[in-house]
Formats: sequence, structure tokens, C-alpha cells
Amino acid sequence: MDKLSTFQFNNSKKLFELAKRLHSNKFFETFLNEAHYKVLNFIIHLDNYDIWHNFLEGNCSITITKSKDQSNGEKSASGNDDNAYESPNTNGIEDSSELLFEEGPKMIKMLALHIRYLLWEKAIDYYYNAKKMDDTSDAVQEVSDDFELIDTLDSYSDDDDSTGKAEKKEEEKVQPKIRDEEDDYDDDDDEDEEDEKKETEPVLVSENAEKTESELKFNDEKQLVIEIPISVITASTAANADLQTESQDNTSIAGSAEPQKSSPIPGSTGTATSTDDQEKLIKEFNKVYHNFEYDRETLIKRRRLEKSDMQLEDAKGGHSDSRTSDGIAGLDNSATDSMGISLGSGSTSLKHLLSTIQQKRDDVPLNDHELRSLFMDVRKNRGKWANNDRVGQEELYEACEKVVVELRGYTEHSTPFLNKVSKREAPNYGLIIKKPMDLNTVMKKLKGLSYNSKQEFVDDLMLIWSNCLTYNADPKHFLRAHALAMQKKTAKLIPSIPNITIRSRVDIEKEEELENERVGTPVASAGKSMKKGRKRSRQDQIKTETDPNSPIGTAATSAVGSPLPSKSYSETPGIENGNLSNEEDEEEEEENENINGETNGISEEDDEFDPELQAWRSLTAKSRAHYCSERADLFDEHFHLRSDARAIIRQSREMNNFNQYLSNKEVISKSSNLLENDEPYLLEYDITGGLPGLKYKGVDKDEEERREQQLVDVYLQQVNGDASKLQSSFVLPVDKGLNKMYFENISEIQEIRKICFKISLIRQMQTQQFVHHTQMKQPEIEKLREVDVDAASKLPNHDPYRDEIQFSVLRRTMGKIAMQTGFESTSPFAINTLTQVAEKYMGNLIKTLKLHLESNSSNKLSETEILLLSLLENGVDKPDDLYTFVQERIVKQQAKLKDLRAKLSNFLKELLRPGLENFNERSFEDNSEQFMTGDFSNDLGDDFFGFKELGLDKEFKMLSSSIPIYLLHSRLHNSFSNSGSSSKRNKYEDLENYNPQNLSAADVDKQIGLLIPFYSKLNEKSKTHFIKMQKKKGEPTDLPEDHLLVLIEDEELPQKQRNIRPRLPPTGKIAAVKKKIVANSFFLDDVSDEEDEPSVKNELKKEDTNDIDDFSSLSKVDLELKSPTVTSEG
Amino acid sequence: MSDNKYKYRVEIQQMMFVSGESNDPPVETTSLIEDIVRGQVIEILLQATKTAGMRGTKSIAAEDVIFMIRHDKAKVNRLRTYLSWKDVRKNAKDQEGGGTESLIENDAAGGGAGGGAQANDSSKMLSRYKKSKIRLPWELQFLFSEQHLETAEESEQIDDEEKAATIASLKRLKMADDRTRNMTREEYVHWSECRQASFTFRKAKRFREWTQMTQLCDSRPNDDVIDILGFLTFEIVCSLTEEAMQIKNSEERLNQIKSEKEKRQNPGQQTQKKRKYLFDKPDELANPLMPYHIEEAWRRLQSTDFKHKAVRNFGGGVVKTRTRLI
Repeated sequence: MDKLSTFQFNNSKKLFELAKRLHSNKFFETFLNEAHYKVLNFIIHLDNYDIWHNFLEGNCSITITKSKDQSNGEKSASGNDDNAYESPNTNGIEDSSELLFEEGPKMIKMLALHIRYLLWEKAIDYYYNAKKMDDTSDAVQEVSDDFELIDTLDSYSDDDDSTGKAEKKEEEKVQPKIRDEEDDYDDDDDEDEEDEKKETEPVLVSENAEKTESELKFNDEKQLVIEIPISVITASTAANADLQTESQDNTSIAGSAEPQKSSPIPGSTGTATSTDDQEKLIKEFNKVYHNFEYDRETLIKRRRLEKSDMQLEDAKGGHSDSRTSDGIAGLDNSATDSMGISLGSGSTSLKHLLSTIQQKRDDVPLNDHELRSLFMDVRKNRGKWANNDRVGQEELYEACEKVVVELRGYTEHSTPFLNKVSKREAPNYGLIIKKPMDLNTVMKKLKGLSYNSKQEFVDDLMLIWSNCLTYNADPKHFLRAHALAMQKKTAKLIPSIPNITIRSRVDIEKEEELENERVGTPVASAGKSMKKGRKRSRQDQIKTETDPNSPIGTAATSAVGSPLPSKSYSETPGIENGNLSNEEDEEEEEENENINGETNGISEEDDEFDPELQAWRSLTAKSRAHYCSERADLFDEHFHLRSDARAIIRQSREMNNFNQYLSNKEVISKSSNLLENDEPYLLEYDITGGLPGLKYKGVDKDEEERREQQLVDVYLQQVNGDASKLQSSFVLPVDKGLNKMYFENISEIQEIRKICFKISLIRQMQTQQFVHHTQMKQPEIEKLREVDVDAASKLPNHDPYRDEIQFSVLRRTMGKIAMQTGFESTSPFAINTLTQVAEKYMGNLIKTLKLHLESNSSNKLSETEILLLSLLENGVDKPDDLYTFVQERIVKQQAKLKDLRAKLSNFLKELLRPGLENFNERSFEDNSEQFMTGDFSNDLGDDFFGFKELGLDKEFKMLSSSIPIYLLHSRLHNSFSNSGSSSKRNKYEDLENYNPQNLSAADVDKQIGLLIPFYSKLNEKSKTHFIKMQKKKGEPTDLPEDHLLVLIEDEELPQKQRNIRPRLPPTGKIAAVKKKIVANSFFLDDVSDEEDEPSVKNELKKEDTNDIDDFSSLSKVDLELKSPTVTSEG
Repeated sequence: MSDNKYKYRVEIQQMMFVSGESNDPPVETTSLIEDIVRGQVIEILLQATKTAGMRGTKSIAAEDVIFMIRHDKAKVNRLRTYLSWKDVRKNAKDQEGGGTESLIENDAAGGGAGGGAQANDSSKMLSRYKKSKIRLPWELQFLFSEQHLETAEESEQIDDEEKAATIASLKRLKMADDRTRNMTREEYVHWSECRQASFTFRKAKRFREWTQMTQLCDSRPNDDVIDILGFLTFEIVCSLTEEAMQIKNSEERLNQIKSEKEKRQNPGQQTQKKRKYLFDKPDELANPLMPYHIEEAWRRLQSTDFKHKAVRNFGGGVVKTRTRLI
């Protein structure tokens, strides 16, 4: 950064350039207090490099010369004492200058230091911005201005260098010399003195450099003496005032057509500029780190202010009533009024509207009264001071109130002047000060409407300060500093008050009438301005003031800044002189009394110097006090932290401010609407807002969900998408250990239950006529599985040792134990209670263990002993007990259960098998042999008894093929005795005696054609049978006559030759031919079945072959068209 | 009778004799024991009524009483055998009249003289008579709704519990045998008489009055219950006596140690005392069980063990316990 070499090498020439330029930019105006600025202004305008150099090096002293030929024409001002006679405005400034400008090197050194600081600060800005510029182009306007400034500076100084290089070198050579020799040589001294004599005061700032150069003079300490004429200081203010008055006058002249405009303008512009300055100041605040050393006083002062506010509030109560009544009266008056639309001219919002109305008054069809009442309705925020009867009151009082509030709020200095000086504080105050005044009194007077003009108000204010200055005559008294500061402040504020004298409406109207008569041209538009003008003239009359400052002799009143001597002021000097000695005593007293005051006084000296700091202090007073009180609330009177105090909570507003600060790198001014209390943002004090927001704001639901989803995916991948494969450590192995035994026992118990159900079902079937099929339904017993915790809890981000999980795992185990003990199921309530008991017990066990482990007993136990002891204390006398428990309750239980199961299943079988003792002939009486074989239910083809449904068929194979008669006899007796062709015999009793005629061979042909082949066959059979029988008997084998030959019945035939009749089930349907598996039939003792079997098969085979034959014959038929083979075969 | 509320002095003395107290205990001791027994019986009755109430009946069944002592398996088994024998006796009486008398006598004689093995044999032999096994409702098979029919062979099988019971009873018999070994005939007769001592046997009415059963129970407990109570009272007296005997023995041992110590410390007195005279007191004083022995025994039997208060650990407060049934 070679561009910064200026600063690096302390190149005063370049710095001077920079200073000049900054000065032209009005940079210093904002950062220096008035006096300092003026001095600097003077120095810069001297445009003398040497002076500048010496100034910067802190090598000068300052003297103030008072000139008598001041351009302002203050002839009365001469000598020190004259100050008092001057106008309050200049008076204040001069006093301050007197105070601040202690002649000598001290002050100028400080100023130099300050200037240096300001200049170097620019360098810093430049440096950082240059850095910044690399990456961001959008720099703040002001900063970029600075940047340019220094950027261009280089070229300027380069020019300088090129032109006066030699010169500069010389200087550079000489300068160190001078500096070195300063202390040793006195050569210059004489010269200085000579110069002093020669010197003519530089009144005009535009004097050329050569002249001033010659004026360089050094005092006896070899310091450059800068003589500053008092006029410089006063002149500037005066010029300022002139300017203002001029502008005011100009506006009043120019705007004579619109006179209402003129009054508010100066005030507003003034405030506007002041706010601009303030903003600049505020922006600089954060370049300095402010410590908290002033906070205590600030807080104390603030509190006092608040107290006095309270007092005022109390006082207000009384006044408000009267005011409202006034208001009503005013309204009444306005109602009676019929002329003029004079609403309080302070209504700036309506200003333009009013002016246009005035211009086009003729076009408006309403009369004045109507217009005014209309405006009254429309006007929203009529100020509290508004009073129709007293013209001008609103504007005046509003402004005045603002001023008083401002002054009161200037707590840096205002505190001593808030309330009346009490007798206790200053017993002889009444003697010295004839007319005491204080801010609160002013406020009260204001509220009491006792001011009629600006001047009265200003006089009162000034009285306060002058009282103080009078009473405390010692120039070093701390209160004087306050008073002066307040005076200055007042002087600054006063211009914002419009110069209005309140007059009652009646007077105005009267005058107007007079005027109208005189002029004879009642122009509505002019009426307003006339009013204004008259008002002012009247003011002049009342005040009888002289306006020496006003250069233009218009009817317009004096400028705001004009000196207004008053009687009260004129009295003061005398008193001051007379009571000097008295005051000194009191001063001492007061100093003793008020230690704070002293410290104030000391600190005052410092910050008097730095306007920036001062501005900071005054601007931030409220915030600081607020912060301090907030902090103070945290402590009790012993400076201990109060535990029950409310915590300082960060507020979103403060955080916003902080963020704003971070992003913009500058203090937020009150213009930004982020701040509610009109105060700049205090970074140092904001202990909560500065807390950064938490980066990690916890895991919200969505995030959690997302992460868990990821985890789930990962884990599912590990087990190939089968969540059930994931096993937590809570799953006990089913294949070993006690768990296995438990499982086995439980399944054993379940099996036994199943058997028990069957037994009870069969018993029911035996005893009851009808069993509903729902009763047959086996209650579903699901096989016990090891249940894992829910899938989500298996994820590693879930704590497996959470209460819920642990409890449920324990509960699961308890459930297992309960089932093993024999409970079919457990109600959740019971099992929860059990689990809690178990939880407690286990907890006790662990607690006991822990207690023994951690005991301080000198009698140390080994770990085994501890374990045994803990077990003992928890009811396990010896470890063997545990073993026996397992043996007795689990292992033996298993054996017993198995035994029981075997017994029960045997019992079931026995139940199903007909007991031998119950079998007797009667069991077969109902012709139910067929049921014994089991054909019956098979032929039915469906699950007739519902055994399949029950699952009994699979378990007990005997059921599937045959039904024990023992079991069924009661049922079957009822259901089948009346059905089935075979049992008819029993049923149709009338047929019992019927003996069917035996058929003889002769009868064969008489039968129906269909049966003839059958009978002929039978006939053959009978014949052979007959022959056989005869042979057996040994009788002749001759066949008898056809009609004698009786055809034999089936029954008579030997078993093998019997005709096989197809059996029909009770339903009458012929089911598909079943291949009976021999092994399936339980009762094998029936021989006939076996014999039947092959015969049936044979028949079937025969039929099969027949079918084949048929088929071939059919084909033949197809070929031969007609063939008798079919019939012949049939 | 009415002025003396202690009605079982003789029985108690007999029982104590059976369980090892050879001396005649003083009246105070027996009275104390009687009080304890009465209290226990009342407690049993009260609790049994409660259990019966839970079952839904008012009358106490045998199971209710057994349920009280279910944790003492050995006792339950003893009771079982006792009851089954009672059954056998009853059935035998019913069926054959006088026939069984001889059997019982035989049994008693065999148990006394023949020793364990013989007794076991005889019991097996007798079980062929319809010795029904007493099943308790909290046994495993009653978990289920259906029970299998017991076959003859099955009932003959002796399960583990029974085995354990027989082993325990064998031990007892062995003890009894040891004690009776050196007895004379008269002594043995006395012994066997004492063994039959009971609070209830043929004294049911007295027992009821003694326990004021009518006040305690709504309905009159059946004979089974009374029998069980008789058995239990016997057991109570026995365990009390045994415990007291132990206490007395340890006390004596302590005294002995103490005296020996004294002897060692001052040997001078030893010589003086050594001399014996004709009318000196016998060396071994017959010191029967004194009431304080019984009291101590009662205290020891009543102390709650850890098992019964483990869950109350760390809970604080007084652990309240009801009277334990001995």
C-alpha cells in the first residue's frame, strides 16, 4: 500500500492537503466541537504549511486576541467582563471559548492529536476498503468517497512533490533540526517577539499565505504561537446567524405570498441538518470502543430526570382540567367566530392545502366559518396546545416543549437544573438570585400557558443558566461547565422555535378590521400574510427590542440568533461581583457535599474536548441508563447476584440490530426504523443481542425422520431387506439355555391344552345331543415365538436402555415365566404389576450389591462374598436354591409335563376307542356294521362329523377311516335309523310278515324283459347249486321241474357267488368309486371286505375291456354302418 | 375344668416326650406350649377361612389348610401320607370290619420294631388296598381342564415327592428306632402310647371348644380338617420342642465351657468340689425345658427370613409380618 506512505512517513504536507480537502467536505465539522472547529478552520484558512506542520507536531500555543473592531459591530463588547453584556448567544460561545481556549499549548496539542487521529482514521478506512474493493465493488458511498480522497491525494501530492521537491527536501532537512534544537535554542524567540509587534490580526480568512508566514512567531518555549482573534470565533457564529437571518428574511420576503411557509422552514432545515450531522457522528461511534466509566453518572442523572418527570406528571394533573376547559371555551369562541380561517398556523400538514385554498378563495363557495369548521373536523391530530382563541399558540408551544424536553433529556449537563435549588443545598441562594428558575418550572409555566412569546420562553431558559453562572462565579466550578454546556445547547435549539407572539383572536380581528378599513382591499389571500406581518410588528412593539443584527430593515423580526439583552441579565454582573466571596465558600461546601459533582467536573474537562464522545454520551444516555438499570436489577444491595432476578433476555429487535451491525459494519442510526427508542445502537452494551443464534438448532422432526430413514436403509441392506433378520440383543436364543426349556415347557403346556380340548369336546358330544360347530372349533393357540423389540428401537440411534424398552423386555420375560407357570394368558394389568414387582426386586438386588461394593467398611468383602451376601439379603439363602429352583420348577416340570401329555393322549385314545366292556350285541342292532368299516363317512365324501375340521383326522388316523361305534352310537341311532334302505326292515313293520314268494325257474320268463337275463343267469346258478346240494346230500342230481326249481336267494349262495350289489349312501348319490387302501381300515377282521375287493376290481376290469370292445365295435359301426354287436354284447 | 383353661397338658407332655424331651416338663412349659399351639391353630383357621372365602365357599376344606403350609413340602408330604393312611384305615374298617385292626397294629409294631424297611414294605402292601392318592389342587395336572383317569398301575408308581416324603419319614423312623432301641418293654409301651397322642383323636369336641372354632368359622369344619389340624398341632409341638431342645443343649454347652474356664482359672475349688457324698445331688441335674427355652424357640421360629421381606428392601418403614405358621 504505497498510497498510505503518506501516513507511514508522517508526510505533513500531504496530510495538509488531505486536511484541506476534508475540510472542504465539512468533515471536521461533525467531529470537532465548535471552538475546535473554528480554530482548525482558522489554521487551515491560513494555508500556511509551517503553521500546519507545527500544529500537527503539537508545537504551538494559542493565544486569543480580542479585537475591538469586530465586524459585527458589537461595540459594547470589550474586555473580559464585557462578555456578560453581549447577547446571550455570543455570550455563551465566548464563555465557552474562554473556558476551552485556555491560552497555551495544552489545548492546541490535544486538538492536534485529535486531528491526527481523524486523519489516520481515514487511512485505516482506506486500507480496509482497498482490501475490500478487491472482492466487493459495492462499498458504502461515504467510504468510497474517502477512498477516492486518498486515491487522488497521491496524485496531488505527487504534483506537489514535483514542483517543490527541492524545497521539500530542504524543509525535511530543516524540520528535524528545528525539532531537535527546539529545546536548546532561543534564536527564534526574538524573532517571534518582533513578529508579535508587527503582526496585524488576520481578520479575513482569505489573506494570502505570505503574510501569515511572516506572522509565524514562537513563544519562549519555542512553540509556534497562533494568535486567533476572538472575532474568528464569534464572527463565524455571527456569520452563521447572519446567514440564518438573511435566509429567513429572504424567505419571508420571497414567500410573502405564502407567509405561512416561512416560519417552519428554518426550524425544519435546521433539524434536518442536525440530524444529518448526528447520523454521521453515530456512524463513527463504533470506531471507538466505549467503556462503561460514565454509566454510573448517566444512570444517576437519568433517575433524577425520571423523578422530576414524575413530579411534573403530578403537577400536570391539576393543569389538564383547566386546559380542557380552555379548549372548550376556545371551541365555543370559534363557533361564534365567523371570519377568517385561521387555524393554528403550525398545522404544517395542511399548509399547502390552505395556501391553495387561499389562492382560489373566490372559487370556494363556502364562507370562512364553514371552511374553518370543516378544517376543524378534518384535522386529525390537533396538538394538545391547539387553541383556537390564542393564535399561534400551537406552533410556539409545540416547539418550546420540544426544546425543554430536549434540554431535560440532555442529562450530561441538565441534571443540576431540573429542579429548584433547595434551601438546604444553598442557603443563601435566595439572596443572590432574585429570580430562580429551573427546567421543571419552565415546563410548568409552559403547561400553564403563561408564555406569550418566544422571547419570554427563551428568557426564562437563559435565566437558568445565567443564574447558575452568577451564583457560581468561580470559573472552575463544575456547575459552570454544565451551565455553559446547557447554554450552548439552548442556543442551538432556540432557532427551531418559531418567533411567534401569541395574540388573542379578538385583537387580531379588531386590527384586521381596522386595517381593512384603512387599506380597503380585503383580499383574502393577502390577509394571511398581513396577519403574519402584523404579528411580527406587534411583537416588536411588545418587546421593544432593538435588532442591531438585522441588516435589512424590514418589518420582519430579528433573527433567532440575535442578541436580546434583557433587564434580568443586565442586573447579574453587579450581583456577581458583589457576592464573589460568598460564592467561593459555598462552592467549597458544595464540592465537599457532592463528590459525584467533582468527578463529573473532571470528566467534563475531557469530554469537553471530544465532541464525538460528547455526542455519544448525550445520544446514548437513555439507552445506557436503560441497560445499566437492567443490569443493576440483577444485583441486590450487597452486590450479590439475585437469584430470583429476571434474566436479561435477548430480544429479536436487538438481535436484528446486531445482525444489521454485522452486515453493514456500521451503527444503526435512529433514522433506521429498527430502533424504537430513537437511540443509536450500542454494541458494547448489548450483551444479549450479540449472542449469535445457535447454529445447531437441534434436530427437528423432519431431519430426524430423514436420518432415521437413511439408517433404516443401511440396515435393511445389511440383512437384504428382511427386517426380521435384524435381531436386537434382547432376543434370547431359543436353542439353548433356560430359555429353550421355557419354550419347550410352554409348547408342551399348549399341546396338553389341545388334547384337553379334544377330550372335553368328545365328552360334550357324548352327553349332549347337539354340538354346535362353533364349539368344535379349536381355540387357536399360536406358537410362541421370541418377540423382538420393535424395529425402530433396534436402530443404533435409539437407546436400548430406555425405560420403556427395558420395561417391555422385562415384561416379555415375565409373561414367559407366567406362561410357563401355567397361565394360558395374562391380563396386561396383572403382567404389568408383576413386571413392576420384578423390576423392584432386581433393583433391590443391584442396590444391595452396589451398597456392599461401595461400603467404607474396613471389613472388606471379596466379590464372591458380596454376591452371596446380596443374594442372601434378597431372599436367596444360598446359590443352591437357584439351582434347585431351576431343577424343580423347570427341568422336572418338563418331565412332568411330558408325562402328563402322554397320559392325556392315551386317555384321549381310550376315549375314542370303544371300551370293551361297553361293547355288546346291541351295538350292532341297528344294522350299522357298515359304519364300522368306515365306508360310511368315506362314501359321504365330506367331513361328516367335522373331524377333519378339527384336525383330528390327521392326528388320529383311525378317525379318518372308521368311526368308533362307541362314540357314535347315540348320535347315529337318532340320525340314521330312519334313513338308509338297508335298515328298512326294522322300520316297516307291516312288511315284516310279508314273505315274498320264491321264484321258480318257470317264472323267469314272466319277469320283465330287462330282468330276464339276470334271472336266467340266476336260474343257471340255482341249477348248479341244486346239483351241488344234491351231490352233498348224496341224492340224485336230476333237476326238478322248472316250476319246482326254486331260484336261490343271494343269502343262500355261498359267499363267493353272491351277487354284488352296488351300495348306495343315504344320500342316494353314487360317489366316485374309491380305491380303498386296506391299511386305512382300522378294523381288519371283516373278511368279506377283502374278498369283495378283488371281485369289484374284476368287474371293473371287465367293464374296462368291454369299453374297449365297445370302442372297437363302434369303429366298426362307423365302417359298416350297422352292426348288431352292441346289443348282442349288452 | 372350667377354671383351668389348659386342657392338653398330658398330650403335650407325651408329644414332647416323643420329640425328645425325656424329662417331665413343668406345667409352665406345657401351658406356654399349649397357648402357642392354640394361637397357631386359630391363625390357621382364620387364614383358611380367608382362602376358602376366596374360593367362594364358607366352609374350610382340607386343601385350604394344606395351602397354608404348602411351602413346607416335607410337612405336606407327611400330611399326605398321614391322610392316605387315615383313608386306608377308614376303608379297611368299612370293608372288613375288624380285619384292618390287626394290620394297623401290625404296622405300628412293625414300624417300631422292624425298622424302616419293613415299614416300607408293609405300606406298599397296604397301598394295594384302595389307598387313594391325595391330590392337591395346585399340582401341575390341575392346570388343565381335563384330567386323565388314573390307572391302577399309575397310582402304584411313586413319584418324586412321595419318594422324598418316604425318605424323610424313614429318617424319622430311624431316629425313633434309635431312641427306642434301649427301651424296656414298659418304656416302649409308654413310648408307643405317647406317639399316639393327639389333640384331636377322639377329642374332636374338646378341640373345637378349646380353639373356639365356632366363633372363628362360619360352618363346622369337617373331620378331615380336624384331623389335619390334629396332625399340625402335633407337628407344632414337636418342632417347638426340638427347637427348645437345641437351645437347651447349646445353653448347657455354653455353661460347661464357662465352668471349665472357671475351673481352669481357679483350680483350688476344683479339688474341693470333687468329693462326693452319698446324699449329694446327682451329677446330672434333670433339667427339663423351661418356659424361656420355649420362648426362645418360638422367637426363632417366628423370625422372618430375608425371603419374606426382600421386596421391601430399600422401601423403608416397618416390615409387618403376620404370625408364621410353624
